[in-house]
Amino acid sequence: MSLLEAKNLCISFSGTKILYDVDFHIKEHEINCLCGENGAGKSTLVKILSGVHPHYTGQIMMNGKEVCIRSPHDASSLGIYAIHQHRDLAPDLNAVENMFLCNESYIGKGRQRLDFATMKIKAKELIAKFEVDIDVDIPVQRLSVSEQGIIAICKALASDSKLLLIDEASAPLDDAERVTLYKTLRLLAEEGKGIVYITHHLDEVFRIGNTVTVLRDGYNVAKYNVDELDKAKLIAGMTGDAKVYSRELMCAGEWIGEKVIEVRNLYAEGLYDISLYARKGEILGIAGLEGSGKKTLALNCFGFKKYSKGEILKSNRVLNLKNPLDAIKNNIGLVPDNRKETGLVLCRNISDNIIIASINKVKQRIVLNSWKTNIARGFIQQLRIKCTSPSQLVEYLSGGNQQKVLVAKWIYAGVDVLFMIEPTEGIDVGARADLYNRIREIVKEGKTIIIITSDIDELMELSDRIITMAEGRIVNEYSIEEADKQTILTDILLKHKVG
Amino acid sequence: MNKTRTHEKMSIHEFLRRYSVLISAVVMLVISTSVTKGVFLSANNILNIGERAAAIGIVALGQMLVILTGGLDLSVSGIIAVGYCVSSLLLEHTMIPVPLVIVLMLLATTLCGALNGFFVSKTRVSPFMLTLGTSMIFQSFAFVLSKGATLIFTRQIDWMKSAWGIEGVLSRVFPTFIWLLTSLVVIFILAYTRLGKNIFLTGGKELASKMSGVKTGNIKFFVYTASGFLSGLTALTIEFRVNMLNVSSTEAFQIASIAAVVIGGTSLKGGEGNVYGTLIGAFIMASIVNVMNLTGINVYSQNIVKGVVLLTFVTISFLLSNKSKQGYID
Amino acid sequence: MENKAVLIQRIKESAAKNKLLVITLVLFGFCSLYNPSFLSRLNINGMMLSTSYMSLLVIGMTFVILTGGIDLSVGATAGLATVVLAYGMNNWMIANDTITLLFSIVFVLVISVAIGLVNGLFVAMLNLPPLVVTLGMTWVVTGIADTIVKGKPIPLPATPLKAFLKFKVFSVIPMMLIISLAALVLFIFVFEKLRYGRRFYTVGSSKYAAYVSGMNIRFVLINAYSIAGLLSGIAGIFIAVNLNAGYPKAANGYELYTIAAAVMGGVALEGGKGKLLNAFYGVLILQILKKLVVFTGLANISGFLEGMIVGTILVLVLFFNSLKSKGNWHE
Repeated sequence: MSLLEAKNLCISFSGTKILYDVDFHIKEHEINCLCGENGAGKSTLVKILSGVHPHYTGQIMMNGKEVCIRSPHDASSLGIYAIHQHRDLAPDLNAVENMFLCNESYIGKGRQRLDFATMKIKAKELIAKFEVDIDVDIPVQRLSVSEQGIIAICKALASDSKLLLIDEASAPLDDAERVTLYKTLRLLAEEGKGIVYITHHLDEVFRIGNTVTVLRDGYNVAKYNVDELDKAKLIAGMTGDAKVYSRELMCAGEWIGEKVIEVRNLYAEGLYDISLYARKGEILGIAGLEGSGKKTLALNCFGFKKYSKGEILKSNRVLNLKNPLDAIKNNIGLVPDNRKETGLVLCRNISDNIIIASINKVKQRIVLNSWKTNIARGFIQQLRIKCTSPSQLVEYLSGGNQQKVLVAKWIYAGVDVLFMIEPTEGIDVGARADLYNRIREIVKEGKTIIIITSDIDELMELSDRIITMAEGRIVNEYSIEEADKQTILTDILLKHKVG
Repeated sequence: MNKTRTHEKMSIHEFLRRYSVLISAVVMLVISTSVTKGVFLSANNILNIGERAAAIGIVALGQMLVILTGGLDLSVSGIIAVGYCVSSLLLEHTMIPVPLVIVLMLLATTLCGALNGFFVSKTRVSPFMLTLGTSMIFQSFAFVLSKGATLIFTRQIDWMKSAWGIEGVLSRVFPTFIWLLTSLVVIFILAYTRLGKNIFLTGGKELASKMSGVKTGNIKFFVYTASGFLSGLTALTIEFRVNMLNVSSTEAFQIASIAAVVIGGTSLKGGEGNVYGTLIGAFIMASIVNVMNLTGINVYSQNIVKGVVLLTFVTISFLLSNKSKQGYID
Repeated sequence: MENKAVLIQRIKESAAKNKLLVITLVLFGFCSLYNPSFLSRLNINGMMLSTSYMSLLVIGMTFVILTGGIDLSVGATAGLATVVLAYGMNNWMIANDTITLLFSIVFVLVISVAIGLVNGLFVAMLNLPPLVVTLGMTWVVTGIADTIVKGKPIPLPATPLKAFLKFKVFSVIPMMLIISLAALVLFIFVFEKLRYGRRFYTVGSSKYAAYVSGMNIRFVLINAYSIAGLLSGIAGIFIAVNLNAGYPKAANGYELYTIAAAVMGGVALEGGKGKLLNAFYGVLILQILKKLVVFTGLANISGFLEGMIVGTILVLVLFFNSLKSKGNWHE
C-alpha cells in the first residue's frame, strides 16, 4: 500500500541547507497536500522526488525497495511524474508534441518515427475531459495561460505514472476548470495513484486532500489527516505561532484626501472604457482574473504600454506618458509581479537597486558609493530589510526582503502613487504580514497605493475601496464596508466560454 | 531558494574569482620572464609591450562598455580598418591639415559605432549578430576604399615630430599616455556618474532597468558609439608609430579586445566588471603576443594561441561563477 | 468555371504557405529578364555548384540554431577541410592514388567532426555561450590551417573525386548538387518526422521543459555541433574540388552567409522554430541576390563589395526579423 517513503532527506544549495532530515510518506489512493510558507522547502522536496535536484542525501523507497533518483529520467522510469510551476511546456511546440514529450507509452516505445495523427487524436481525448476546446496545432505560447495549464495537466495524465507531484498547477485555471481538476485528481487517486499536491490556497487542502504534510523552514513539522484539521491549526503549523494577520478597522481611513490619480474612458489593448480614480492616502484594490486587464491598466498608467483613447490624470493634470521615466517624473511608481525579471536587477546590490529610479528622475550627475550606501542603510532600518549589508547582492535576499527593496526604491524616488501587482506573490505568511504593515504606514503619510491582485483575502485585508474587473471592463466598485468576498468573486468570474 | 547569505568567509572559489586577474598577471610575468630568459623585462621590450598594450587597451575599454550592457562588439576590427583607410586617404590624396584629418577620422569611426548603436537600441536585433554583420560591412568597405593597397601615414608622423616635438622614445610612450587619459575618463564615468550606474543596471537586467526609469535605448546607443570612437583612437595610436599598414592587420584587435575584457573579470552576461581588470587584461594580452614574438612562434600559430587563451579564460570564469551549474534549472 | 476558381484558390493557399519559394521563383524570373546571361550554362552551373556546399553548411547551421546556439566556426572548419584534403593529396602516399584519396577524405571528415565535437562539449558540458566558444574555435582552426599552409594555397591535384563530383547527371545537374539535395531531403525528414529530430526543436524551445521531461540535453547539443562540423567538412571537400586548391580562407565569411540564409528562412536565432526547407530557399535567394549585384555592375567597383553586400543583407534580414517578433512582457 505504501507508495513512496522518504527518510532523512537533506539538501543544500551553495552552502545553504534547505531541507533538514525531512521524512515523507505517501500511500496509494492518497492525495497528500504539501503546505508551508515560501522557502519552507515544498518545491524543493518535489523537485528532489522528480529528479530535478540529484544532489540530495537520504533514503527513498518505492514500494518497499530502495531507489536512487538522480535525474528526471530516473524519476519517470520509477513512475514519478511532476508538474512544475510554469515552464513545463516548450513554447514553440504545439500541444500535441508537448503532451507526449519523451512519453514512451503513447508514442510507442522505441519507435523513432512519430505518428502525429494518432497522437493528435489521443491528445484531444485527454483535453475533452476538461470540456474546453483548445487548438492543439498552434505553438502553446499562443494559448491562454489557463489553456496552457490544462495542457500541462493533460501531460501529467498522459504520463501513466504511479505518483503525481503537482506544484501549484491550479493557479492559472478558472473556477470551473479547477473543479474539473479536483474531480480528475480524485478519480486518479481512486484508481490507485498517489498524488502530492502543493498549494497556497488552503481551501483546496480541505476540498481534495486526504492528508496534509506541513513543512516549515526546511523541517517536516507534521502530517495530519484532513478530518482532524481546521484552518487555524493548519496555519499555526505552517507559521509556528497562532498569529494570523488582521486589519485594525473594517472601514476606510479618515486621513483620505482628494483625488490624486484618475483614469477617464481609457481604451487600450484588452481594456474598454475604463474610468476610475484613487485618492490621497487611500489603498485602492483591483480584483480580477488573469486576462481581465488589471495588469494592462497598471502598465498603461506607468507608461509602459500605450493606450488608444482616453486620459490619465494626476492631480487633475492630463498626463502624456511615453515611457516609465515619464511616469516616474510624475511621481508614479510600479512594483511589478515578476520581480526577478522586471523589478530588480539581481546581480547588483541593494543600494544600486534602491537609487536606480531616483537618479534618473532627477537626472543626478554624480553618484558616490558612500552616498548611496547611506541611503540604503536608512531604508534597511526603516523597512527592516534582513540582509548582511547594503552591498549585498539582491539575488541573495528572500522574496519578502526583495519586495521591501522594491518598495524602498519607490519611496526614495518620491512617488505618491504606487501600483503594486501581486505584491505578496512568493512571500511567506510572516513576511506578508510585515509588508502589509509597511503599506499601512506608507498610506498614513499621504501616499496612495493601488493593489492589483488575484488574492481576494489580501484585498479585503488592505483596501479602502475595491474595484472589480473582468474581460477588460470595470464591473463594480465597493467601499470596504459594503464589500464581501462572494460578491467580488462573482463579479470577476464571468464565464465567456459556451458549452 | 531565497535564503540570506549568512557566511562571509571567503572560500577558495571567491578568492580565485576576486583576484583572478592579478593572479593571471603574476603567472604571466613569471612564465614570460623565464621563457625569454629575461629579455622580457628589458627596457626596450617593456616599451614594446607598452605600445601594444595601449593600443589593445583603448579598444578594450570600448569593448568593455559594450559587454557591460550585455552585448558584444564584433566589429571593432572593421572600424579600426575604416579608421586607417580614412586617415590614409585624406593624408595622401588631399592637403587637409593633419589635425583636421584626425578629427575626420574619429568622426568616421564614431559614425560606424553610432550605426551599430542605432540598430541595437532601436530594434531587438541581437548585438552579436548585428555587429557580426556590420563587421563584414566595415571591413569590406575599408578594402573597397583602400583597394587592397598598403596605407601610408608619413605625413601624420612628420606632423607629430614637427608640431609637437614627439619622436623617438617619447613617441613610443605617447600611446600609453592616451590610454591612461582614456582609462581615467572611463573609470570616472563608471564609478561616479549616473551614466555609469545606468550602464551596469542596463546590462544587469534590461527590462527591470527600463521599468525603473533607465533610458536603456540611449545607454546602448552610447556604448556602441563610444566603442566606435575608441576604436578610432586605437587606430590613431598605431598610425602615429608606423609608416605603412595593411588593412587586413586589424583582425588581431578583435580577439585581443574581447580577451582583455574577459581576462579582466568582466562577465559576458553584463552588469558586472571593473576597469582595472580590463587594463591588466590588456597588458596580459600584449605580453602574450610579445612573448610569442620573442620566442619565435610564427604568426600563424599565434592566432591559435590567442583563441586558446580566450577559450581558457572564458571557461575558467564560467566555472568560477556561481551560475555555472546547469543553466536551465531555475 | 468553378474548377478554375478552385484552382486559383489552391494556388493562392500554397503560395501563402511557401512564401519563400515564391520569392525565389520571382527573383529568378526577374534576374533572367534583367540579364539573359543569367540563364547561361556557365552561370547556372556555377550557381548549382555553390548551392551544393552552401546547402550543406545551412543544414549544419540549422541543427545548431534550432537548439538556440550558433556556430561561427563552420567557415573556418570548411577552410581547414580544404587545406587538409589538398595537403593529404599532395603529401601522403598510401598504396595508390585512390587509397590516398579515400584516406584523405576520411581524415578530413574525422577532423571536422572532432572540431564540432569540441564545440559541442564546451557548450554542453561547460555551459559556455556558443557564440564565444565557436568564435574562439574559428581563430584556433584558422590558425591551424594557416600553420599547415604557411601562406601559400595548396593546389589540389586532379582526381577521380573531381570527376565524380562534377559529373553531370542527365547532362545538367552536377553530382555535387545531387548529394547535397539528397542530404537536404534526408534531414528535412529527420526534422519533421523523427523523434530524434524533434528533440532539437524541444531543446531550443525550452531547455527546462526538455530536461524535466527526461531528455538528455547534453546529447542533443553535442550532436548538433558535431553534425554541423561534419557537414562543414563535406562542404569543404566540395569547395576544394571547385577551387582546385586548399587554403584557410576558402570559406571566409560563409558562416555569416549561412546565418543570413537560415534567419531569412525563418529559423529563429532563439531556437525552437524554423523549417530547413525554408533555410534552403534562403540560400537560393541569397545566391540570386548576389548575382543581381554583379549584374547591376556594382561588382566592377571592387571585388570586395560582395562582403559589404552580404553583411548588409544580414543586417537587414535581422532587422526585419526583429520587427516581426513579439515583445517579451505579455499578460
